[in-house]
Amino acid sequence: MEYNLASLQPALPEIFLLSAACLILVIDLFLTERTRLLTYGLSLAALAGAVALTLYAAGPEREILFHGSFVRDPMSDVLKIGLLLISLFAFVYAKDYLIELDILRGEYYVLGLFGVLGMLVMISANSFLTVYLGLELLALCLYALVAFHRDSGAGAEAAMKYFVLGALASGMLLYGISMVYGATGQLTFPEVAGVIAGGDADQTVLVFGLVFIVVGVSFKFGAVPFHMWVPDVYQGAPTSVTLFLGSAPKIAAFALTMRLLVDGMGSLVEQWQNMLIILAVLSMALGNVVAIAQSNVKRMLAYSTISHVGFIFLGLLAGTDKGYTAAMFYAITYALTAAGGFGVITMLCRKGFDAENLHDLKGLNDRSPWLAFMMLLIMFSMAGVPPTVGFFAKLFVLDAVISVDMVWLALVAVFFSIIGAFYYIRAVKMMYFDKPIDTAPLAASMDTQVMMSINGLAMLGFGLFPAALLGTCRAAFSG
Amino acid sequence: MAAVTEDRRGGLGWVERGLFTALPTLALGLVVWKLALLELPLSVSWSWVPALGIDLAFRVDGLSALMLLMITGVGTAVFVYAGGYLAGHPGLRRLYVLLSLFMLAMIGCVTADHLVVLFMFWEATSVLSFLLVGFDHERTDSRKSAQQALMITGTGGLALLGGFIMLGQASGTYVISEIVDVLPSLAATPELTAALVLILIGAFTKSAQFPFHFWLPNAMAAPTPVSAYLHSATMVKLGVYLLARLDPGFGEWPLWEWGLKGAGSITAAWGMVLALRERDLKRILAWSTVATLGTLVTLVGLRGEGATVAVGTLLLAHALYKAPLFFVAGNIDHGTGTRVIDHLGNLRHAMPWTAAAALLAGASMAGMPLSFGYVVKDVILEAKSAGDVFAFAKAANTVFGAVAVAVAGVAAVRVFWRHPGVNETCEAHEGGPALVAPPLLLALAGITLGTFPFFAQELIAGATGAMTPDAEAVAFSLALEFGPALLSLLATFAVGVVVYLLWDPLHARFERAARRVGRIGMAAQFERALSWIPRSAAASTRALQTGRLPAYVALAAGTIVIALAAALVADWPSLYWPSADGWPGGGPVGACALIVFGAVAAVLQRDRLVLLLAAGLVGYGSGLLFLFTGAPDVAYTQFTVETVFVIVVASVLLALNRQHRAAGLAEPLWRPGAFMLAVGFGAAVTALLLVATAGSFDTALSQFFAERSVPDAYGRNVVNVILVDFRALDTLGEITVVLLSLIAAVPLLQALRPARDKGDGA
Repeated sequence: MEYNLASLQPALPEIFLLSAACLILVIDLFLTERTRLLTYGLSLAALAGAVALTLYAAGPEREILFHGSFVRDPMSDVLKIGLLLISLFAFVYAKDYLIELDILRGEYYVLGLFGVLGMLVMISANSFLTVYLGLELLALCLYALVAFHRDSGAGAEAAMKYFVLGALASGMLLYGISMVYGATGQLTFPEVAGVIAGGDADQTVLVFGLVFIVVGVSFKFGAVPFHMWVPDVYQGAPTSVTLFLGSAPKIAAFALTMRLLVDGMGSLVEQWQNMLIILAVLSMALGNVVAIAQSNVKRMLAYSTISHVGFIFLGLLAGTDKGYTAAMFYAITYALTAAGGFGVITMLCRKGFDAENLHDLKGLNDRSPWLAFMMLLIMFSMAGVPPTVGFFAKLFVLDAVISVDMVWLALVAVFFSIIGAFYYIRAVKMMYFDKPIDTAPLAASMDTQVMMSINGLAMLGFGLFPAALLGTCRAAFSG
Repeated sequence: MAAVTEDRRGGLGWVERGLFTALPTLALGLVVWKLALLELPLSVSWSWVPALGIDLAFRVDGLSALMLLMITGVGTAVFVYAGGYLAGHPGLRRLYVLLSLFMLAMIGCVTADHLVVLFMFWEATSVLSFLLVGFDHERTDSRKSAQQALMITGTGGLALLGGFIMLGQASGTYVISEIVDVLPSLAATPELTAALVLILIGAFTKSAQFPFHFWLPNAMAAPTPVSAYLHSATMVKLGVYLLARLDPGFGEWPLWEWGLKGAGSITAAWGMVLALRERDLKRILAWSTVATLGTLVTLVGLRGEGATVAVGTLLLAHALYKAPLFFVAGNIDHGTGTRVIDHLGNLRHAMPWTAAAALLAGASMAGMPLSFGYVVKDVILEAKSAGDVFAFAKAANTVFGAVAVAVAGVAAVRVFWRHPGVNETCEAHEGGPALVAPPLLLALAGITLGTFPFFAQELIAGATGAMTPDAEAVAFSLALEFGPALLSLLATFAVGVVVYLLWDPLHARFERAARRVGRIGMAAQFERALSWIPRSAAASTRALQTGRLPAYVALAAGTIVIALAAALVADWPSLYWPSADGWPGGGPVGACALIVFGAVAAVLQRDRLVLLLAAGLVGYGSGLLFLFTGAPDVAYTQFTVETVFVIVVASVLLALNRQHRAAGLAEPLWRPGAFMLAVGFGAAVTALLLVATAGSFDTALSQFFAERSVPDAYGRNVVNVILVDFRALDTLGEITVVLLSLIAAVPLLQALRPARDKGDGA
């Protein structure tokens, strides 16, 4: 293949983001404490630019680059735009929080940008190596971000655990990849899929490779029983990092699973379907039940994440386009919801006070009715109450599962959603019916307020008009 | 939104109250106007989520029309009443906004013709009722009741969703009017049975049927307008509505029929018995509402046209007498400050208008001739005599009828005419017109329809026609008649009067009995179940989420072992093990011995430094193995990495040692769990490697390099050629990375130096 600038067009967003991140890193060196916000502005601009370029490069056809290791298709377009926009939310919410905690450094946003770049690479990966490259770029940035508050012992502990378990997971994934490579002799997904479908590969080795790959994916998603890092890291990390960690990477993890399992090993669907069923049921059960016992709101949302991951797996394991569409819809909207939920918590923080207990939500309606209403929408969306978007996400997934005749699985999902509704409703009860413990006024800068309003109302907007987003997700698979 | 617009300083002016009240009035006018003009059923549909075939489909037939009239009619009364009842209350605007949204949700519910759309409005009513019941959120009991109500109706709602999806999948459409047509011809598959059970659960929770009956009286913590609207006239009827809506489809199923008749009858009888143990007027009314809902469910379950007519009539009658009675209870609370019937009596002088309204509504509830309640009793009697009614339903209905008379007596006669034992009501006063007019008008409507039943005839006919097409003919015979029914009604009435007269002694007895039941009753079970969830959650958190990294790694490793073992076992017959072809040379064996020695030593050692060196032996052994098996480059890499690793970690350990920290491992030498995990993991990976190496190996790459190294790169050492030629850029990158890491190491080393000095001093 010949390289010229025009042929690089599908990779424009990645190239742009890489250059922008490097540039911002250098610019930040010359900034003082007072002008630090320039880094923030430039980072937002970089994300916005990447969105524009993604839209520019988008199209219905499938384009393959760099000797088959990079792909741009409708699915990657949708996921990238969702990912970039949600990262935008995460960046905006982080600013006030970082200022209050006095840890606003340029590295925060640069690390964030590199993390986003890693996720973009994961989404567009067309070979095992590219996927791994993106995954590690993301993971390294996240390890550093979790430990970003250097005076915080909890942060350091969380980062250590995250690093050790994350490295273990990467090892597993690599081991699995090496086995698949050994069996098929190929690294790019379409070719791997071709060899597997041809029946030439050693089935036993493939299945062992698959086990390790699924283990790696589960670690990254935080599915039970590979979820142990999630609550500890969510709690220990600075809230703004938890926000970033808990939102956008879910989309990337979805892409990772799609690329590895569906694009690469689609004809082994029967094998990975069974594994995902176990993971999904365990995740929904443990996540929803254990979340009830949490008094720390970050931990509660961590377990809630685990249960939602179970739902995403539920859509994936249907193994049909309908299921993938539902899982994609779920991943994108959940990431947005999670960003909003953690966003509200960052807005409760102020100098010398890091809101992280459920009690800190008490009486929020008396302190800021608007913020309480946004949180109400977010909690209802997580619980799946119509007409918020969370309801439709669950509905689509259940519909997909039932249409492949796995009714019992749908019933299990509904049962645990019922248990899950308990703790979301308790949070709402605290906001609306309880007396505030903390009566300090809530001040938030204009950009945060605007973004939070968009985020909260999006729960309602996508719920009232789900057709547009669902249609987009569907189009990604019908091609 | 509701929360945002709340005005904290005071109530609302007349204008704003008028504007809010205009909403239901307009809706009522619209409904009446459209009903008068248009032929039913009306249906409209907009495409909403085409990908899933979800349309915003609405359909108004006779049943919907009846519900619509009740929603908007009672709604108007409630809006007027709320303005008077909560005049000056700071949250009145919030209440109005919530009530308006609630009315909208109700309208959506009874007109929706698509299961998903119906479900959405259904959940909206649950959530809004949560906010409405918790309106007085300063009070603990009202918060608790709100949560309980939402837990139960919300849970039922999700069950309903499951049922709806399965029903939709089984019948191939989500459009309710089509499902009802398709259902009778479908076979009774397990899926459909599950769907039916789930839908029953959903409907029963909403309509407070046994065993989910207990939330409704607790929800009486809500302000009176809310109780009157949600808990008597509209929301709790949704379950009945849904059952009636699906009855033409499921009607022939024995499970459906007996589920409805059984749960309905139990609820009717039990609700009335529980009414007897209450002293709070509002709770008495609430239990009688529960019993009425039970009767309605039983009637839906009964076959035959008569029963269907009875459903329509009782729906309407109940709204027309129970809502006024709630208003009356609210007026009494408002005028005297209490609702406990022991402290009330002789109120007719202080509250004449309320007394009149209570009498009229009470007459209808008791089923006195010339009231609409009488027509209802008449119709129910006819339905029961249809023949297929089982004895328990009859008995339940008799209890229901008798206690209804007694409850009506308490609410309408006792508190207004009887002299109180303790006179605490001297300050009692009548409320303003906004408090008096709504109950009077609604009760009057009930009497008017009773005296001239043909007014309601067409409405009831339409509603019953929607439920059972043949029922229309029967409904047209709806008229005031004093036939043999009168006799049996008189009997019921007489029993009711006796219950009324014996209310206090009966109460005392039931209170004692009920306290015993209370411990094992549904409410107690519910509380127990709820407390079990957090406890098990806490226990599993303690067990799994210890916060200790080794435990996490152990869990992960254990799972991997199990997964690998499962894959091995599943593939066992087709596994291909390598054949042992001769003995390996001394080199490999020695290397392996070194590895084993290192591993065993690492397991036995407690001192961290020695442990590190032992682990290093494993690495060197691997390097040797590579060397002897023809991969010298990998071996060198391994040696280098291992050396650097040992040196770096050892220097850290030495630094720590100097600070007298962490010299040895505190863990015991023998840990069975860890041992088994280690053995399992080792065995699984070994088996895996044996199997993997025995399989066919793809040689494309080695062939490529062997063939191309001489012609392309003019080198015979393939490894060298790969490193410096084919992958020259990679090698350059690696070298760069190593150099860069040195740069990063310099400040680290500098930082270490003073730390060490300090450590020496310590």
